[in-house]
Amino acid sequence: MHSADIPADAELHLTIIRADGTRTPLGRTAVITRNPIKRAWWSLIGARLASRRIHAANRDAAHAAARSQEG
Amino acid sequence: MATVVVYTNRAKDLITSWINGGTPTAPKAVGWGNSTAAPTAAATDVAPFGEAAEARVTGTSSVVTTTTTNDTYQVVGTITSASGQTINESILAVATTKPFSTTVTGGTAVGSAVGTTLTVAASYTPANNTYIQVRGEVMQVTAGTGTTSLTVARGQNGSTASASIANSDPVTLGNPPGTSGNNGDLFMHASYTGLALSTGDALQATWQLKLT
Repeated sequence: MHSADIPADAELHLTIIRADGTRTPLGRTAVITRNPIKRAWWSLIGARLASRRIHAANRDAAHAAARSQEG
Repeated sequence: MATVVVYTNRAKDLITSWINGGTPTAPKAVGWGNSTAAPTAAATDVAPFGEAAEARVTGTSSVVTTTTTNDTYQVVGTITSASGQTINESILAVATTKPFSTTVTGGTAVGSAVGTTLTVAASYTPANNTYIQVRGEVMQVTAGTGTTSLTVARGQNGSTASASIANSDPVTLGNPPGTSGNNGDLFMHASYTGLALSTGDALQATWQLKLT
């Protein structure tokens, strides 16, 4: 996507609030930006970090569910 | 799944209309989706890939500062999951009422990028010449309103006709630029890695559109 196609920057930040009240901020989960350097960084690194944070949150939830079943 | 957020072509249409004195209805409706066939969000999208069962919520909108004073429009909304599910898309829309939606049950469009008939599970109540989205493709329903057998024009609004349309795919009405009504105005759309939620878990979404 060319910068000319992006008239403004946009971001989505997500926070999980588990049923027990635990809050897990996931930070920037999705980004679009006119800045080509920032766009390249998000494409190569930022998006992967965001996915990694989501995977970690999924793992934590699975572990918590397993612990509660054991208990 | 690429983690992408876009403001849609319809959003650009709405913004320029507002600048030109149109009556604004602020996009504050926050929703989410859980389609198993979710592609990557694109500016050509007019609807979520598969909206989840929970109702959209009206978020809290504000104007905040990123770089220069009041250069960012922000909406914060929280949805609580009513079941165990994997959420992989979020939307910011104008209407809290969901638009018409159903699922694919057959037709020549299934498995084809050129087939022009689409059979759906529920009678299509919007008028002819309205638009629907299936996966990442926007189609125009040229005939078939009031029935479950639709004639469609493929690859509308700059989208690419998909050969991957399958039975059970969600079908959702949406408005490309220049059209309106039917609760079909999608303003922003994000797709991301699936997030596993249990019943009672909630997801707070903070949307920002920055004119910095």
